[in-house]
Amino acid sequence: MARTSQLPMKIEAKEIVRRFRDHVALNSVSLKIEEGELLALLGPSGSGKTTLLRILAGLDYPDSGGVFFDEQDATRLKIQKRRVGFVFQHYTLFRHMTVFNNVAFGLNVLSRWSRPRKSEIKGRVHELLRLVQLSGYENRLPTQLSGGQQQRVALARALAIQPRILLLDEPFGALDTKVRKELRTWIKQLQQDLKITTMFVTHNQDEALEIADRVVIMNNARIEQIGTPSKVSEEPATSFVWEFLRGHMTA
Amino acid sequence: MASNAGRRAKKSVDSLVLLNRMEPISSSAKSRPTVHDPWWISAFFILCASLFLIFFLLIPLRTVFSEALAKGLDTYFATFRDPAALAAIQLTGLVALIAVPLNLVFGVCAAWAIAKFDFPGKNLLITLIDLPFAVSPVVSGLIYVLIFGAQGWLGPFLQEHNVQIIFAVPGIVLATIFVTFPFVARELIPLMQAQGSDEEQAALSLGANGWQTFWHVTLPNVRWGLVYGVILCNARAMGEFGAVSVVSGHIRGLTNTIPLHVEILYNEYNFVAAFAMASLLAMLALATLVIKNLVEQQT
Amino acid sequence: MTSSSTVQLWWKRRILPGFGLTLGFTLIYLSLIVLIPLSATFVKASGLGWESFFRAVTTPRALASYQVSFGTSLLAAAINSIFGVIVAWVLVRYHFPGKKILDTIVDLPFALPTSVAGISLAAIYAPNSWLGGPILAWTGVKIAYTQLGILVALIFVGLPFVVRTVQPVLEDLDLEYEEAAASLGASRRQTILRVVGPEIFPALLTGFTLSFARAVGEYGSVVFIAGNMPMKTEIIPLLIITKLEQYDYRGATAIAVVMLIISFILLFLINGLQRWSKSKKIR
Repeated sequence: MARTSQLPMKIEAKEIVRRFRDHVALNSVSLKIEEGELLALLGPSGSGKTTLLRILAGLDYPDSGGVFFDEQDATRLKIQKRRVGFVFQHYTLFRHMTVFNNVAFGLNVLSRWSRPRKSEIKGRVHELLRLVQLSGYENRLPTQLSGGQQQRVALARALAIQPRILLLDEPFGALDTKVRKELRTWIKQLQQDLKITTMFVTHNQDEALEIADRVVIMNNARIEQIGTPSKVSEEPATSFVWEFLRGHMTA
Repeated sequence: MASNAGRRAKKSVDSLVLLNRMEPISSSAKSRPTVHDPWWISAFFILCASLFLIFFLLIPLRTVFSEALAKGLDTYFATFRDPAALAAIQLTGLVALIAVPLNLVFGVCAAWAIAKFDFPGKNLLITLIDLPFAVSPVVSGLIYVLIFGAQGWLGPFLQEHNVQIIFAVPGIVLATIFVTFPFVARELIPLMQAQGSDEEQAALSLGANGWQTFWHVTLPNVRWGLVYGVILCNARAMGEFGAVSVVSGHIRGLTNTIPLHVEILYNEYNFVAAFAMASLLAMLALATLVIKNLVEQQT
Repeated sequence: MTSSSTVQLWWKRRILPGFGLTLGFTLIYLSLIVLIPLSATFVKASGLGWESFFRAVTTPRALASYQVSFGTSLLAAAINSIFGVIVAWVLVRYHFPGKKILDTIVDLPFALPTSVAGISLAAIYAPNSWLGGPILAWTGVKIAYTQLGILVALIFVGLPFVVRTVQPVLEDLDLEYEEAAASLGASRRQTILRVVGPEIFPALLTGFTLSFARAVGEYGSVVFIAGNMPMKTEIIPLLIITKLEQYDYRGATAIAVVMLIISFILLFLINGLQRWSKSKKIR
């Protein structure tokens, strides 16, 4: 079973500040993510949501503030050690590797004593591909896959390392509308089955409101409001939230 | 566990082979009348270009072989039985064997540092790597004479310890390294810059360490650029003349590479032998061009 | 709750590993191979003192060699520019049998060692050869052992530069721009001059400078065909070697420094031109 081997994880960001040369990306942002929940980071471009995601992943470090995994300080923990499953916006599959090798990568790079046997790796990869409904695609190259298929391989690859948390950067951004809708429903189902703490970044209001357990609305390096989809659309805390969600209702 | 929703998702996703792609407008000028030149203009330019290239490139190339074989195959092969010639071939091979791998390591390191990171002085570094292309080969050799030569900075020190660098093999190796170190770097840097760091970051997020990331992710993506850089580096290392001329001392049988030996033979009016040796390098050049072609077809 | 560990140092933010190792090796390598030998040259030259240096680099023989080298290099680069653009255009826009071969052969000067090219050109254009002979007989023009011979050799070595810098620009040039110009009434000639021309001009200039830089320092291809007469057909690199053979280290170093300074200027010029090229891309 491609389930996370540990109990789902709690994550907390405390007063994260991140300044770039000419602007502030995150202005003392604090956020608590509960075990097993599907959280959406929603906001216009430039709001800081991707920066926050990358800091949680370990692809960036804050100027001040802290990141905590299950109460333990992970701010300076290197990304290789964080066991986060990160799915990049453009999937970023290893273009010279087959689907099989892409998915198996996280297992193949484990040190000799923690690496599972070859047969076990094979089994896990097949199971994951079955999970993302790409059985039979083991020997394809990324260039032979559609956008949606690449997205699912990227997901399988991230899940292979049994991550404690799944982080998705605009996962549906590069797909067209029809594919987008199908995939988002499917990911919601997957997340519920696996019970893995998941956070995804999007600028698409419908997406966030439709599938997230809670929505974090960001604007201009700050969090405007956090709440369930119905809460934020019925009781917007600021005028920005109201404006931003105007016309987008929960299902 | 895969719910109906999941199955439905799969069907609709797979029915989309690729994102909608419109039929691209032909990029050939032929089918776009407004940008098409009249036939007599094209013919004229093609003729011009071809004559120019044939005259300045193909004829010299052909001459190498025609002169080498001017006195028949026997005389041609006799050239290579001369011990001095064999020594030259051996030395050339040795120098390349040392210089090319070292420059390969340098090229990879420099490309990684420059393409994947930002740091002050990066542009200066890139310019510095281009230096050997702008410096005359003779000067490239001279700068080593000024350090290791008898009157150089380390001259007295070396003489004390009986170490010969100038007018000996180490000097030739050094000068060759100087002249050829940019090749691998210059191939890799733009390639790695264009490819970005996303795949490397993905590998890290999956738990790979630096070496694993480089070996499994970066290297396969740049392998053709690497091959081409090494081929060019090697061709230049074996063919370098000016720089080696200055540091070698032209000691027959000891410090002559193939290009230098060619010069010696030529100055002795032993034209056939000179061109015979030259033909080795010419064939290497042709092989280089062929490999380049193959590499380009792979990308 | 007080914020926990802060990451102050900017360099700690590097996600990809290996920065220290690779940059360190690169810098050490460059220092050993390039920087230290170069500084030795400048230090030695400065040991001459200004007067002595100036005298060494302005002897009549040296001045003559500057003229020979720069003059022929400029002309060769100019010729290569004109024909380089034609070759690039032909390779990008037209299709004809043998195009692939021509495209590949353009790189020959990159791959062929200079001394091989040198003896080959000398053999072709020598007064008694199959090409040089007839040319001498018909036109009275001697190629080998004259500046003309030097010119021919320099055209050879510099040929690929303009072609290879202009070619990618032409390839990237969307035909739609020319169609737009035509739709606005421009004749083909006007379109080429006003639309295509400015696009390739930075690349052309870069190629010209690269060709020139290469030609100025060229040694191996030239010495066989040049004749090497001091004051007439002696190029700067040969002068340096001659001085070395005469153990005039000071003189050789002085002239080498002049060449180095010119190399640096050209290098920065080329760099600037390349950056200008990149910024001018219609994208």
